[in-house]
Amino acid sequence: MTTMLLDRVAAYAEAVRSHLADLGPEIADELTDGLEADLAEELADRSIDGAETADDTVLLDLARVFGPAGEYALELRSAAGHAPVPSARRLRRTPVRDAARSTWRLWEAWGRRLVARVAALPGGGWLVETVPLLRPVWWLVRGWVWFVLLMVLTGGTLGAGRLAPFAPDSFVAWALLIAAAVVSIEHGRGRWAERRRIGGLLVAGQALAVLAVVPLAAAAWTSATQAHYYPVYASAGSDPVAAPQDGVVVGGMYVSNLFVYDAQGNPLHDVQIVDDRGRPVRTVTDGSDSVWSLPGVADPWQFAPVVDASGRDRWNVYPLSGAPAGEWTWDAASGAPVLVPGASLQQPPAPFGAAEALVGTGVGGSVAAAPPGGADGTVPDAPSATGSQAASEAPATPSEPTAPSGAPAQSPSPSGP
Amino acid sequence: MDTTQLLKGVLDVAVLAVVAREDGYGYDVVRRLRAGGLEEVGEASVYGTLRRLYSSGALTSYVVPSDEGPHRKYYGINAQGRTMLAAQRKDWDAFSHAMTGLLAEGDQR
Repeated sequence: MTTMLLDRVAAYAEAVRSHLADLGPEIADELTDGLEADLAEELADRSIDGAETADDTVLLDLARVFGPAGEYALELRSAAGHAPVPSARRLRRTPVRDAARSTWRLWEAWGRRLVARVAALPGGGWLVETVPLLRPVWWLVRGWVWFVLLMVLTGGTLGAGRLAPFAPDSFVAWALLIAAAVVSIEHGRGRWAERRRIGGLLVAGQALAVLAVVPLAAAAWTSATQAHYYPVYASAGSDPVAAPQDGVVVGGMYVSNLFVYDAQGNPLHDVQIVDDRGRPVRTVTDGSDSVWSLPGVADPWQFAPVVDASGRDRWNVYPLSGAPAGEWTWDAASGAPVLVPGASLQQPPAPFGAAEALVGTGVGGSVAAAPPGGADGTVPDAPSATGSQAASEAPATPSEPTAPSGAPAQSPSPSGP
Repeated sequence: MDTTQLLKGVLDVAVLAVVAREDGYGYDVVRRLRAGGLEEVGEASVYGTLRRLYSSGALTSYVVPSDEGPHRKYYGINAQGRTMLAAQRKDWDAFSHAMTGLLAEGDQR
């Protein structure tokens, strides 16, 4: 059989296929798979008979051999058990429908030409045979695209977790994803090809999926790669306590300073505080340039560490001393905060000069409040004492805030209340 | 008598019987049906019937590539198809026996 005849056969098969287009590409392909070979062989048979093909021009118009392609298609589809005659409504033409159909045919023809050209390349045959096997993969991808679009359309009501809208993280979202995948697979297998209304919806869904798959995949990729950097407590919003950071929190807010009183209620100075593992407890965590509002003080304050005997900054020596922020500047050379000339470190105002005294500490382990007289605001022999003296004078208390011997090299002058 | 109408009802069993003897591709089945006496059978009807029987699970199918031209799609019968064929053969025997009897009676009057 000549190439020209094969081309004719292919054109006739194509015409038959176009009359089956309403069944969907998969069913149309299934119905016409191998049709070219059958037509070609029948044609060869008939030309041997010589009856109908005496004249070569007849062969150029295969419709005169096999009948009009539309009738051929009708016979094929009705024998295959598909709706034999498209309903009147189906045939109703509108400019939009016509335009869509002719565009689709144009693309389809272009696609078939492309496939034929690829098949002719070395290894192209393998490609052309293999790619259709990957169809189910596309069905799954399409299901996922529909899922994401539905998640977006529902505006996060179906799940708004960290993975949304690209991956399910709720029961409803999982159900939706599975449903979308099943619908896509069933559509791929031609399940609703003859249900016009559903079919139209699914064709629109297909077009949408083709358009959306690349941008959505790109967005999902970005989301997936950035997900690692999301803090775990992001949902806690601006609540500072939710973020586990260093610092001392009382009543939900960070405190700038700690004031320590002995059993008699006297203020202690230069008290080192560590946690149960011996780690320094720091209120000021990010260096000395953070500025704190103090209760009842107009200017915010900035604090300074105590420098120990080995010259190391110690931030867990309380109460921290500092100065109003206006008295601080930056050292031109090191960039470290320094006091302006004439200013000196002071202890910030204490909440009260003396705390309530305790009695009975260390006796039977019970602690009781002192009689009112001990806590009336008087300061018994306190503020002039240095931290270490105060600590050594203090009786044994549950917290034992004694300063070690190698203690603070810099003792800020205690300021009385 | 319009034999195409008659053919419609029996094409399934005819195609099953032909394929049960030997696997065949579309036009091969048409040729064997015509050789068997069903001259009027339409190719497209046979192809459509093959597709439908395949979809319903009565036939298997495989593609044989051709060096010279387009590939051929072969069909073969499977267990379900054989069961279907046996049942339809029985139905046909009963039906044709009844028809033969009816037509014979009509002749005698």
